[in-house]
Amino acid sequence: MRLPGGMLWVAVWAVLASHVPAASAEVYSLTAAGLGGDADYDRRFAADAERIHGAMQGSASLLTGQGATRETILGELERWAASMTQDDQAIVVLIGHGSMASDDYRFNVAGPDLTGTDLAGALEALPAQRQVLVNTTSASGALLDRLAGRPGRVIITATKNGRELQATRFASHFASALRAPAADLDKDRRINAAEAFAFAERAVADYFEGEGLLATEHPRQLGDNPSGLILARLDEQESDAVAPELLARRETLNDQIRALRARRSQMDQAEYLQELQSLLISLSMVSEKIEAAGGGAQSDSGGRP
Amino acid sequence: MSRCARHSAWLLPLLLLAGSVGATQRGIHYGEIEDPGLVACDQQLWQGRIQRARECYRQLLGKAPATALRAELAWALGEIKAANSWFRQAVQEDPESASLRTRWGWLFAVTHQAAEAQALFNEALTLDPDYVYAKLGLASVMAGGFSGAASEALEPLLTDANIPTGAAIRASLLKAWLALEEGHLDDAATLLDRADGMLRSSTWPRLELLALRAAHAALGDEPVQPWVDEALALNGSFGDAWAVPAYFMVITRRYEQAGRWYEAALAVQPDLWSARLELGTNLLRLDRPVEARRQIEAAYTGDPYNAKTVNSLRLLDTLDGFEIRTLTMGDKGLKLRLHSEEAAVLTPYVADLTRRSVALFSERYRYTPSQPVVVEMYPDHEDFAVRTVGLPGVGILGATFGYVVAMDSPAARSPDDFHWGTTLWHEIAHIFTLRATDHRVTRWFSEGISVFEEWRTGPVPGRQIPLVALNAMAEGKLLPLAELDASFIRPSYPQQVLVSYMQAGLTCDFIEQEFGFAPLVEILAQYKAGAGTRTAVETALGIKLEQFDERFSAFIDSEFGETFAALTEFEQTRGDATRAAREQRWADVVEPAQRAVTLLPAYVDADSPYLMLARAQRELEQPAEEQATLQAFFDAGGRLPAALDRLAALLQEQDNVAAAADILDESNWVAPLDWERHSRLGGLWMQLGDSDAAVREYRAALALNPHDRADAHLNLARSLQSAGRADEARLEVLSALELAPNFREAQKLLMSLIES
Repeated sequence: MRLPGGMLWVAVWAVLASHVPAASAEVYSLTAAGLGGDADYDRRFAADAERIHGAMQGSASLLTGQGATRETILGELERWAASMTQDDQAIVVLIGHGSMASDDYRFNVAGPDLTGTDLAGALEALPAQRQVLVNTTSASGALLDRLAGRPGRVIITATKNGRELQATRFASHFASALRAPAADLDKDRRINAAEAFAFAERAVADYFEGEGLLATEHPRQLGDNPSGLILARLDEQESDAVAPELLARRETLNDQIRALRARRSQMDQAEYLQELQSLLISLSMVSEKIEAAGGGAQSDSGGRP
Repeated sequence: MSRCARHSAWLLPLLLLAGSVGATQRGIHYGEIEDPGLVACDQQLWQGRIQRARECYRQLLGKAPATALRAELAWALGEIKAANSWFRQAVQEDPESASLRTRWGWLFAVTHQAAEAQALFNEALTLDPDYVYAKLGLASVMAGGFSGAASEALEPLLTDANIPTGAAIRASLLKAWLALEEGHLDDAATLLDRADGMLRSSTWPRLELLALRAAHAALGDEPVQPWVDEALALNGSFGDAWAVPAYFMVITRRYEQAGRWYEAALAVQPDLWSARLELGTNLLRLDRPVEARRQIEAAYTGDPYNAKTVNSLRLLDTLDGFEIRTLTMGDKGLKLRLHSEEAAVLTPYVADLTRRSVALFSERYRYTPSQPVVVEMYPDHEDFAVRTVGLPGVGILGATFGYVVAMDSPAARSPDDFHWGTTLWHEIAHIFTLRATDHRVTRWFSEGISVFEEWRTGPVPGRQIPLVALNAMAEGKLLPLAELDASFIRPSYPQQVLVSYMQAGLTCDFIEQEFGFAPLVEILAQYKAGAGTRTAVETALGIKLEQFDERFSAFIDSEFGETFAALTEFEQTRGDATRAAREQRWADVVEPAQRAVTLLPAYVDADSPYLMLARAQRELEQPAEEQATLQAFFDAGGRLPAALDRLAALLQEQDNVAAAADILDESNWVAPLDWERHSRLGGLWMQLGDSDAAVREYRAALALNPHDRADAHLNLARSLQSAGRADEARLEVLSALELAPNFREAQKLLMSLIES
């Protein structure tokens, strides 16, 4: 009886492990805010872009207003392609107005629009296996089917298709998610793509419900393991004083807990809880040691998005 | 039995008067049709010789009759679509015929298409304004919709000596039906005698008359059997002999009796689909959904045109998504039927309020439920509406069928205008007035007690009278008590039912204030003994009904005289404040809003001047004044959740945790489906050391699928630990950590629980 469970554990661990960036992996991020069309939107888009850019780790670029053009955006992605490896992670965030013309999505920037075709080509040219495109514009859902499907890529859009053309609120909530303890559902002090999406999606829905309005945007997320894609950290990196073996032990325990959860439906409930409790006690003790060594608290409580 | 407004339906009177005799539903036409061959066939049908009648119709059809007759024959043979086509062609051939359009209208009427029927009757009257059968058709459709205009439409027909005898009979029967619905038994008897006199010297059968005689007997607590026997002697398959009195049992809320008589109707006429549907619907009222489904599905196979049947089947499908929870309550228990997505959240609140109300009313009305109370709550209002369609005066918020309460759940309506706790309190009171009188209580008194109990003992004590009712009262629209019941059935102006609810509540309030509480209980006893309103009130109070009306009128003037005088200025000052608020001239809001509050302090609806004033004070950064305004709003019965949230926040800012908790706790009777409010309230109860209350709130928060489930589990675990329930706390903290293994606070709690 143990053997099948063990085999499954190995398989699950392998899948999860494949999404963890290698130790030397770099994170490349580009946040681009297009034209607002009026001063209010210009300000709002720029502010959202700065908040998102500010939360990003690694090599982060920001393009806004007149500085965000088809040429500069594609140029930045081309530069990444030259230095990036397949172990790296690419994050592209677009903020502004989107539209549809000639059956293609268009991101409204100064000069010629950036099209869905442009984006597809540029992302395809990136060596990084792990890619996240967060398109917060109106009509962004038009890219879902077109860009999703490549292994390792996650697509997040503010709308469900290319026909939702009203200016969106998603970007603002997505920016908030990257700094919000309430978005950190697994309490690891990091905000992954799934958590940021869930927070922003709920906040958008709450807005329309609270105002008694018919929702004009329906966020969507497609792609592999978005929870394995870390977008932001709520704390600084843990202190160098923490022994590496403690951190490794913590990761091992976390992996074991994930694997146990995956086996839950095949287990007796009491047996499952007993094993879970045992692992959690071990993890708590390791966390306590990390905390004592200056690793900081793992989490605090959240609130409503 | 219900709270608030009414629902319209039009089916049942038509079944009698448009004809549910036989499966063809063509009915007795009282001279409307003159073709001797067709009338001869109809006579066979009316005598219950169904096969012979069908042969007769077929023979006529074989003789290549005129188009109009072909339509009647197709209808008689149950070929409804063909009949419709023939009528259409007949009208094209003879577009000036009022009688053709009238008959076509009846075809629509009996196939449940009232609007089309009404249009055709009106077209007939355009062609011939004196065509009496079209007038009868219109009156019948209006009667079915419980329109007060039906009686007025019939009056001239009853006094016109020149109309055909058949039409006069039909007019008398329809008017008698209306009188029975309104509880005017003497008037009904006179009309039935008149119709009987004419029928005895005619060739039309007395079937419908006898069914109404049976109904009259049933309403007067007399035996129905002689009348039913007489009808069945004329036509052994005349199911309406039982179904008509059964209908009157339904509208007077005697559901068990109604169910027995519908079964009897179906025993003599199994294809009386209307009765089968009503039997099924009635079984739902008696909390027997499995049997109900069987009957309603059978009704659908026989009459697929009835939208009510289809809607009832959809409702039954919906019930598959409900959970049934059986709980303890007194000796007999409590059964909750709640939607599976709401059951976990609502159960503690519904159970608490039901238990409290049942205990209180048992003591006050000296009656103890002898069966389990059933409470059903529908998150989709349309599902609840199906439960009440076809019942006169039934409301849009809740309905009580004996021991079964059906109502909207908090999700079905905006919390701005729906206080579900008060609605449930109101409906539970109906259980007592119905059951303590063996369902003989009049509608006005049952509604009156329920409204009175809302005000006196409900979750939001104090009179809550809508502006529309205050205006009607100021205009002298209250009715003599003897006429109040009829206004619930056929209101004579829009919103009259709502006004009548208020009058009924005020009547009970007045009785308690002037005569004490005991006479209210005595009136129930009188009703149980079979007394009418006059006898019941005069016996219990010791004054004549007319004297009562005079004293009640003086009471209204005394209690509301100043309010009536202030209504115009209230509207004016509230309007001034509204305009200023819309333009964000906050300083200009204060004075008129304050004046409006002073003029009508009990007005706490969503557009209340209290709320405008509080908003202005917030904008003007006057927190103390804002808090005082919101507190006054709350004290006056205001329960708008957003206002309560704000008041609680202001109280919390001053560390008045207990008051903040009490305010938020009240929100549960209005808007219990907000996880954040439950979570916040749970935190307040924890601060106050009330762990059990905190557990309740945190559990509710968790059941509402909060965004951060790990945090919700941890909160619940802490409250359970605090309540000394360590094992449950450990399971909750494991749940938190299962979702978020690195949740440091949860880890610490787990270690503390393990170590202890």
